[in-house]
Amino acid sequence: MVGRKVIAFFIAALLAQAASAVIEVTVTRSTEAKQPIAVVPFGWQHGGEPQSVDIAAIVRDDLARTGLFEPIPFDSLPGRPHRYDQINFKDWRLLGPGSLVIGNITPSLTAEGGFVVEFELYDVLRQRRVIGYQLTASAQAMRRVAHQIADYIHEQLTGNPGAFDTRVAYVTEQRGADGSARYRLSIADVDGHNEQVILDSSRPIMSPSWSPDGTRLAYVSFESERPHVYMQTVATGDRERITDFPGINGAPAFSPDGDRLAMTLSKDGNPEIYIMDLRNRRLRRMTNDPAIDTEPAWSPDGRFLAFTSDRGGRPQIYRVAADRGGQAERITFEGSYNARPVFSPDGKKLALVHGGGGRYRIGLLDLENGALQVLTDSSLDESPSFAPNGGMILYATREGAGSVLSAVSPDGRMRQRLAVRTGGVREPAWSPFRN
Amino acid sequence: MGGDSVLERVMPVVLALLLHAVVGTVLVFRLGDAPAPSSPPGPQVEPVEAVVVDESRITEELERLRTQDEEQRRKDRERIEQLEREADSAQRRRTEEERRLTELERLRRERQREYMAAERERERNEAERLAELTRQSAAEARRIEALEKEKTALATQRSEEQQQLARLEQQRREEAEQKRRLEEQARVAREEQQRAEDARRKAEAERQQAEAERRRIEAEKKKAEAERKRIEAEKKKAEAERQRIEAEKKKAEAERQRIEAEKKKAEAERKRIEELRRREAERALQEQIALDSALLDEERRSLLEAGRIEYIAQIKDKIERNWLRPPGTASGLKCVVRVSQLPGGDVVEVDIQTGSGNVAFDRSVEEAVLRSSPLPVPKDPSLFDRNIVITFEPEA
Repeated sequence: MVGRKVIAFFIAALLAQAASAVIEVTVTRSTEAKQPIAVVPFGWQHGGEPQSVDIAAIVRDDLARTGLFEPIPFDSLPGRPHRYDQINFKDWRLLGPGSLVIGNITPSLTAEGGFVVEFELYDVLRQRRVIGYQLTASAQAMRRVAHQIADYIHEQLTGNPGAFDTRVAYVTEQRGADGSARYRLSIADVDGHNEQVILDSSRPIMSPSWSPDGTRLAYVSFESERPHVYMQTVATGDRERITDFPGINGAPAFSPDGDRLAMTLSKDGNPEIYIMDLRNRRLRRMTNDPAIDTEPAWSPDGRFLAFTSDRGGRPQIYRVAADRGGQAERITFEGSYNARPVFSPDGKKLALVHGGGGRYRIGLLDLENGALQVLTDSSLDESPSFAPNGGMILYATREGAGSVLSAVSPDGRMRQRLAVRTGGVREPAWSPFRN
Repeated sequence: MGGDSVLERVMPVVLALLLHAVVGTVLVFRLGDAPAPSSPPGPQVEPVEAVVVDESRITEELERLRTQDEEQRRKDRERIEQLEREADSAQRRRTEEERRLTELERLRRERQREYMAAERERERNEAERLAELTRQSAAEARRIEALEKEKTALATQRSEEQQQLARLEQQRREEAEQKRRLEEQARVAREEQQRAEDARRKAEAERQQAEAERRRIEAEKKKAEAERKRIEAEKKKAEAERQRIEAEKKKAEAERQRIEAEKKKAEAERKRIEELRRREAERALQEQIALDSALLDEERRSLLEAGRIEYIAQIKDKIERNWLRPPGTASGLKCVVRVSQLPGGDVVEVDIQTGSGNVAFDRSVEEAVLRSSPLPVPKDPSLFDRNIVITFEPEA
C-alpha cells in the first residue's frame, strides 16, 4: 500500500513538471534533397539590343553543378518578376523553393559603355530580401558577372564562398592524321567557356601550377628535348625558362607566398625535392634519399612540403618542414600506392591518388586522424586539384581511350564531369580565387 | 716558366745569329771581290770601318756558341716531350669521362623506356580489367534486379501470411472465449448439484439422529420407571443424599457465580478488542477512499498527457514531411530552434537557439518549419503554447 502511494505521488510530481514546460519536439526524419531555388530570367531595361549572354541561365547552371541546389526550369516558373513589387509570394511558396533570384540588366550610361547588372536574392517563406548587389562590366565580361552573382548566392545560402568565378588550367593532347602529337596548355572558366590556349607545342607539356595571385603559371615543357620548368604570365604570354639542369626538371609548385617554387630536380643524379627562391634563383635541397622523391605540394601555411617517395619500397606520401628540409615523416600508411598529394585550402586534408586492386582512384586523407577515404570509383584517376573554396576536387580520369576532367565533392557523394573538351584532357589545375 | 727565362734561352741564339751576320758582313766587305749589289742610286752609304778578326778565334767562338745552342735545343726537346706526354694522358682521361657520360645517358633513356613500357602495360591491363568490371557489374545488376523481384514477391507473400495469421489469431481468441464461458457454466452447475446433495445428506443424518433419540428416550422412560421404584425404595437414603446434594448445590451455585463473573470480564475484554479492530478497519477504509480519489485525478491527467503526446507527434510529423536536408550534410549535426506561433498555428518566427555550424543545414531547418505553417493545433486548447522548442537531429 505504501508502494502504491509513493508511485502515485511520483506520477503527480512528474505531471506537474510536464505541465509547466514548453512543448518540445524532436525531429529526426528528413528527406535528403537538393535545395529548390528559383532563378528568374533577368529583365532587360531601357530598350536597345538585349544581351546575348543569358545571365540567369549561367547562374542557374552554376548552382545546379554544385549538386546542392535544384533550380526550377525556366518554363515551370509561375511568373517572371524583375522587381520586388512584381513578386506574388503565394505562387512561389506553393511551388516550393525557399529562395528566389531576380535581376535586371541596364546599359551603362558611362563613357566606357557596358552594362549594369542588378540582382536580388529573396527568402520566399519569410517574404523578404536577403541580399542585393549591382555589378557593372563590359559586354565581354558578362559571363564573369554571372559567375560572380552565383558566388554571392552560394556564399549566402551555404556559408562558403562560391568558386564559380575561377578558372582551370589543363593540358590537351591531340594526334594528327599523320600520328604527330600536339600538346596545348589551356585555361578556361570552370564551366568550360572562354577557353584560351596559352602554349602550343609538338612536345609534351606537364604539371601546370598556378601562382597564388592567379597571374602566372609554372609548368614543365619538353620543347627543348629535355624537361624544363617554365613560368608564363597568363595575361601577356611572356614566358621564361626557370631551370636548365641536367636530368629531370619537373613538378613545379608555387609556395603560398608566391616567392618560391618547389620542384623535382635530378641534377645530382637522383630525383630530389628542391625549393628555388624566385627572387634570386637560389636552390635549396629539401630531400636526400637514394629513392625517387617527387611531386612536392605546399601546405597552405607554407610550413610543410608533402611529396611522393618510394623510399619505403612503394610510393607513399611523406612530408618535410619547408624551412629546413631534412628528416621526412611518412604520412600515408593505407594501401601500397599513394601519390600526387595536394593540400585542401584549410590544410586539414590531403587529396591524393590512391592505388589498389589495379585501380588508381582519388583519395582524401584526414591529416588529423589519419583516416583515408576513397572518393571515386573509376579505374584510373590522376592529378587531383582543390577548388579554392575546398568544395570540389578536380581530377583527370580515364574515359574510353581518352581522358576527361571530373570533379568530386570532398565527401565523395557528388561527382560531375566538367564540360571542357573531351579527347585527351589531363593535368588539371584549379586556379585560386580571382581578384 | 716565365717570359724572362724564355728570353734568357732565346738570347744566346739571337746573339749567335747576330754575330754570324756581323762576321759575314765583315767577311763580305773584307773579301769584297764579288760585285756590289746593284742598288738604285741613292744617298751615299757611309763606309763601314773594317776590323780584321782572327779567324781561329771566330771558329772557336762559333764552336762554343754551337755547343751552347745544341745543349739548349736538347733541353727544349726534352721539355716538349714531357708536355706532350702530359697532354696525352689528359686526352685519355677525357675520352674515358665522355664514355661514362654516354653510358649514364644510355641508362637513363633505358629507364625511361622501361617506365613508359610498364605504364603502357598497366594502362592496357587497366582497360581490360575495366571491361571485365563493366561485364560483371551488368551481370550483377541483372542479378540484383532478379533478387529485387523475388524480394517483392516474398514481401507480398509475407504480408498475406501475416493477414492470414491475424485472422487465425482472432478466431483462436474467440474460440478460447467460448470455451471459457462453457467451462464456467459447467462449474456453476456442478457446485449447485453439490450443494443439493449436501443438504439431502444432512437431512437424512438428522432424521436418523432423531429416531435414535426417540428410541433412547423410550428406553430411558422404562429405565426411569424402574429407577423411580428403586428411588421410592431408597427414599430415605435418597433424602439423606438430597440433603447432602443440597449442600453440594449451594457450593456449586457459588462456583457458578464466580464463573459467571469471570465470563463477564472476558466478554468486556473481547468487546474492547473488537472495537479497536473496527476502528482500524474504518481508518483503512478512509485511506482507501482517499487513494481512490487520487487515482481518479491521475487518470484525468493521463488523458491530458496523451493529448500532449499526440499534439507533439502531429507537429513532428508535419515538419518531417517538409524537411529537405541538403545533400551531404553529415549525420551528427544538430540544430535547436524556438518557434513562435499564433493560436491558429501560424508560424510567426523561427529563431535558431543552437546552430549546427552548417549554414545550409540550419537554413533547411528554418525552411522546414516555415513550410509547415500553420502547425497542427492541439485537441485540448489548454495544451497550446505560443512557443515551441524543436530539436532537429537527423537519425543516422
